[in-house]
Amino acid sequence: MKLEPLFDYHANLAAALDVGAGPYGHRLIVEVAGGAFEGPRLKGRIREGGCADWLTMADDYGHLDVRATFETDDGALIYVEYHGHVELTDAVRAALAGEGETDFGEAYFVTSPRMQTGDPRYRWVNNLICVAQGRLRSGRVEYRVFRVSND
Amino acid sequence: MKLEHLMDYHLDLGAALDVGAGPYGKRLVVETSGGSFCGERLSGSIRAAGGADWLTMCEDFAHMDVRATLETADGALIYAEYVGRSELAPSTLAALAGAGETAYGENEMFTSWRFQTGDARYRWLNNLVCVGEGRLVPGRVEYRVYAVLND
Repeated sequence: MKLEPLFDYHANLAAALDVGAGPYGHRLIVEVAGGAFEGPRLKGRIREGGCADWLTMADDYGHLDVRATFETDDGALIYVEYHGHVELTDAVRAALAGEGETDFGEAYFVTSPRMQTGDPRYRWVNNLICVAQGRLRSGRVEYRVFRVSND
Repeated sequence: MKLEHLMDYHLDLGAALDVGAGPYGKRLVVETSGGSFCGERLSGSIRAAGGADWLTMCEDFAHMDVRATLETADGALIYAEYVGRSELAPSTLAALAGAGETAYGENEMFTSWRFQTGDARYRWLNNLVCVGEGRLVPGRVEYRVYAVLND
């Protein structure tokens, strides 16, 4: 089993709304204002609507719960959802507050994206198990996405 | 980013109940009757009740949706849930019908795991993204599960 690069993407971060502590923990809703993705088999933009991270903050980690709509350059729509975990180091907390950046592999910041589409050209994405690592840049989050494949 | 072995895991399979095609596709509920897991940092048994695979049969893939309760040898309870994709190759279909088995890496059979526990000794599992590769042997499914870690 190995990890094989699939595509890179970034999402532009808008407001982080502090919903407070409810029955499932302390929730933040981080709104996303579009973005873009690019890889050898998959390229396009992230739609501005219907995309956010319903983040739960616990025990020095943020637990991501993200939905997004990807639109490929050739007009296919792909629904993307993922869970993930981000270690709330001082650098991550500062970057989330708009001060500084983090790099890939610096803190634990890993997700497991899933994709759904009915477009025959991209039906293969329905059957992938993927993982991604993230980093925070000014005003955006960037990911490298890998698919899990056999050796 | 790298994969580090977390545990080997098996589930004993019970009846596969064909629920038929509903609004989300063709569903099978595959009952499980316990199992075990073994790794350097966690080992124990899987509770016989409260686990199953709510499987959706797609074109050439089955999409797994599994819940299980893990009980470690030292008494911690861990709620595990995972989604997966299993290529319905001829050897997979034969093994599901009780004839023969499949090997790791023979077909695509991958999973993406999440764990939840309040036990202080295993809290680190709450913050890990994990993936697994699977195979079918008579009466059971086996997985090698890996944590996705920074290099």
